[in-house]
Amino acid sequence: MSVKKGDTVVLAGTKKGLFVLHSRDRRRWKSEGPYFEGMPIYHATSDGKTLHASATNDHWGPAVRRSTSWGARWAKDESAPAYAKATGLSVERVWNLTRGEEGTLYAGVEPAGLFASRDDGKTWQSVEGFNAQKARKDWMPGGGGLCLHTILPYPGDARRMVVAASAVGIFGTNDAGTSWRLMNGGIAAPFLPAGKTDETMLGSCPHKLVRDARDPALLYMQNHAGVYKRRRGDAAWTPIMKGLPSPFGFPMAAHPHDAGTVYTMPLESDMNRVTGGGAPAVYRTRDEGKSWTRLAKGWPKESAWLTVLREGMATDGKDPAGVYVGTTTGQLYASRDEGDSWKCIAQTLPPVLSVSTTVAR
Amino acid sequence: MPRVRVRVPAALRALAGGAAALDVEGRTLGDALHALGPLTPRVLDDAGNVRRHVHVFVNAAATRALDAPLAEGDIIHVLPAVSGGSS
Repeated sequence: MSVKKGDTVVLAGTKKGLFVLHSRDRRRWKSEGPYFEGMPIYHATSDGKTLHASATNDHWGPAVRRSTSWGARWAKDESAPAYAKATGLSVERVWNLTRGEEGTLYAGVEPAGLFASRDDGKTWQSVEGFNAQKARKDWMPGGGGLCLHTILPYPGDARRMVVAASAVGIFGTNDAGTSWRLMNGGIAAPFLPAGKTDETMLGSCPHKLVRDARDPALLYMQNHAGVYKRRRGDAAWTPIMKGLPSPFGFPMAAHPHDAGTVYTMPLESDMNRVTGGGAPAVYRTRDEGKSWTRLAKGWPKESAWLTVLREGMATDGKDPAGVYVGTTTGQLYASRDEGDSWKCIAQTLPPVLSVSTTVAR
Repeated sequence: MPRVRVRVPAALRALAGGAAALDVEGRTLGDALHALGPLTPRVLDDAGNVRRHVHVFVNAAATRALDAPLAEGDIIHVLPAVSGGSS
């Protein structure tokens, strides 16, 4: 394995295994893997030293695997979050792995639930305050399943966290997961009779949420039916989709350093989930969504009907920031100038399910 | 208590220390499948049912009934089902 300290590492989880791309200068990339060949990798994450991957075997079920050698070797004590037998639930797959405060590793799973590991993924505990909510009997799956796909710890405060589950909504806790409140106010929901959700109404469909780099109390969301922001204390979400070609899309990524700066990649519509007009483009705001800039330099100008899934976009921690986008047709695009220009760094991967980044330590 | 042999599929042998078969004791199929250590959650889901795309045979008979009685010397086969193809 040739990943060196200081390298930018891009973890591309695909439908057929995990690929580890790495680069010293973000111009020339090397690719390692695939690891877990044939298995869908819904997500992978790394703190720069340890790599965790959600590897789901279609026959034998989900597992969270761990490597401290960038995939060259994997710990044998594989683990998986599991519901208690009495719940009648069974974890189908792990959609998201996120490192929280105080070193806790969190897993968001399908059917929607939250699990925590305090021993680096060796064992998992159910976050019962979330998983045993009485209202979960009314949760209904969306097209992607009933999945908890977004976990946002609050930097510096282990009591606070926001999570999101498709076709259910956004939840927040202020007491380390003991109690949760819905945060669905003001979100368009054309698939519900009411047309929008009130704060405590089930059924909003968040696709991805991120925190502002400078102000962790400020959230941004790519929803099924729009793009929104919300600051702690707000009673509802504020639409910020003016200037975007479509309210529909899956991924969202925050700039690693700059306030007010996030990226999304709109798709044509709910009914046609491809890049509009066959001309893919990432959109960036630098003013909390008041305005958006179309970023298409380096992307095909025509005949490119791409789809990017909810975990398909990530930024790195470098300056200027790198931005990465993986498509379901196996391309991995990278920008080393904050999205101003792009280069395809992998052309023929299996369908990309997730992209995440780290800097090797 | 009947002693039975569980054939370990190739994909799971790393979890069985490389063994192609494990000898366990159990009065029922459920007893035997719960005695497989780290293999058990690969064969049974969290709710305790045989995973959807896994087939279990006691000798030559397919079954998903965990209360199926076992007899001394039974051979249990755990196999991936013929499924997939959509991706």
